[in-house]
Amino acid sequence: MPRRERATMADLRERLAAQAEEAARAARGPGVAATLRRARARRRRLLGGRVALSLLLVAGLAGLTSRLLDEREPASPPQPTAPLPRQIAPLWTARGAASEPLAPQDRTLRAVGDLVVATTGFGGPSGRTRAYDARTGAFRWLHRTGPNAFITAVGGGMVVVAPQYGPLVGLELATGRERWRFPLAEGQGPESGTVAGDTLYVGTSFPAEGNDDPPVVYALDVATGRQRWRTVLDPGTDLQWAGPVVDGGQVLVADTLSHEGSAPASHLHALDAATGRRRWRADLHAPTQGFFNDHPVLAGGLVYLPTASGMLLAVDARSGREVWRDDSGFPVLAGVRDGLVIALVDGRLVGFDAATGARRWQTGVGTGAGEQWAVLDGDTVLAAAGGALVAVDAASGAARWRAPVGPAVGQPVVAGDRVYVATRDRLVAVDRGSRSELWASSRLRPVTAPVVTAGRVVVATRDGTLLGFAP
Amino acid sequence: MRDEPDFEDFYAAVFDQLVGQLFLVTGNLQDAEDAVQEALTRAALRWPRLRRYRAPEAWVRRVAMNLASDGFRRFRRRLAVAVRLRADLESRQAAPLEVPGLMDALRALPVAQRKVVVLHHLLDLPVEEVAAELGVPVGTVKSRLARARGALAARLTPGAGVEQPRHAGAQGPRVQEGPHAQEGAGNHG
Repeated sequence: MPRRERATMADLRERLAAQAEEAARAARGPGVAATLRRARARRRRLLGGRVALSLLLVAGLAGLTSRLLDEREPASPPQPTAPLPRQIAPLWTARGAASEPLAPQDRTLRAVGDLVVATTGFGGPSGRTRAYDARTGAFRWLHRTGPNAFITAVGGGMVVVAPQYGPLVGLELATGRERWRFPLAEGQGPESGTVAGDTLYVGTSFPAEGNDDPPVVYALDVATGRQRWRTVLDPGTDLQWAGPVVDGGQVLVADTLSHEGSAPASHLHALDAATGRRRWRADLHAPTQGFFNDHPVLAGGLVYLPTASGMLLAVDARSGREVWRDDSGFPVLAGVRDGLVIALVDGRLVGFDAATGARRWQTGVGTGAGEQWAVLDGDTVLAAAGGALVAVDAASGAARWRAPVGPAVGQPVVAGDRVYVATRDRLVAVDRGSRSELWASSRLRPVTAPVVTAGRVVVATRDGTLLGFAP
Repeated sequence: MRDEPDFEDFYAAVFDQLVGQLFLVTGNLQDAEDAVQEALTRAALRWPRLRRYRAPEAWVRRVAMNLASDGFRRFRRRLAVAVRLRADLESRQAAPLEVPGLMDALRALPVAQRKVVVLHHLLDLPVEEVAAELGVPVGTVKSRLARARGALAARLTPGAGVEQPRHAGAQGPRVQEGPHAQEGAGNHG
């Protein structure tokens, strides 16, 4: 047995580089001459095929033309006429408070009342949960949560945290005092949870390699951690990150495949909120693994959700029967309003008829670097896409304004008359009416969307610092 | 082919380096070489356009990464005729020395997780660029990274699974508690 050197995740990069270098030294290719011979031979075959393909294309052009949609021009970028935004400094900073999330952002920073709660230790050996006064940045409490700590759910005066593989731990929000622990099996990791009334609904998965154990959904008394029910779902699947949606006496959770071929398909499951009994499940037509952080959205008796295969699906909320689907690209759901489901699909905001899925309008907002987000703000859709914040009329799709703030990190957050968005190198406040940038932070590296509470805008940065700004 | 000298330089500059990266994904030198070779063949076909790219090797790496899937062995069989010309090389090829523990740990991960580890941790690509390169949602990249790191921590941390049988990763990242973090980090400004 070779000697096992002390290994930490910190030296992973060095080990990878050393191994890649070693393999590169051993590499022996057939050489460039053989490669060019293969390329020439393939080109000859391709040219022959293209003649036939051209004839087919000419015949098909008429049909393609009829499918062209009435797409609006991309929301035009206003020329920067306003002076550069005011640069402001944070009111407070808390170092070592957060860590770069490799889980969804909403698992690592939460705002509740006058507190912000953040976790550290993702990817590291220890994990802590800390709470700070949102107004002053004063430290309030700490909990030693364990490796890869994250916030499962907040509600009922409690914050529920967990290491990556459990247990679930219920902490008093005000004091951080541990009130209960709910143990999980070996290898069983909780996903995000939802508190509805006095109940915590939380799904768990067995995500490790080779483990096809089925996910389990629990309903726990959030005050005591006592189990009310548990329901076992399908083997070979893991649950999506987003917490369950609890509505109309049902708990909705979506799954994805644990790994390639581990299950025939992924599903949306509807469980009875009182008993956990499975009422129905809807096929998501996603035979590959893919994770996303969007909740299903319930409106007008239908459930709308994205699937890992890049589809927007509408199913009947009472039976799970599929009503319509759109498979034109991976959707980021903004919400449902006035009979329209609005989603960002591959650089376009699209208003789908909520009942039929027909496209009522679509507006290009751009693609490119950065995350893509869409949120519904009254009669306006705000999209972070293509390095800009874009506002579009929710009813017509007409472009209202575009602010080139830079590639977004996390979703834009609306509070009062302002929109706050974290970008790769600053935090920006934009006036919702005039689209102008009101202020921007100095250079920093946000890793989460901002949270707004107690008169402060708080963001976590890559070096683990929390920063609190005046709004 | 007018661009051949240019392509020859490119080939010489990137082949070994890309094989090194792909080896971490495939866990097998021959598969890594075949994936890179096939990607470079496709690059040769498109070279007049690719040569104007700022980083044509990124295009080749993306193609090679796509090829280096679980189904790559089936793909290789379809390439049998083309591959035959290098049979003599394979017979005298030496396997690379392996960094202790690392390749076993990587081979225990699904290929999709190995890809994000290489792109993010070796090549330092931000998760958004990893997502774009692999054509998957950012969330999927983050999930794969989280799971890969959990499994790697379990296998690469002393006393935390490295001596376990193949599916030790299923027991989670039994990483050790470090020294206590600073408490009460509030700093009013």
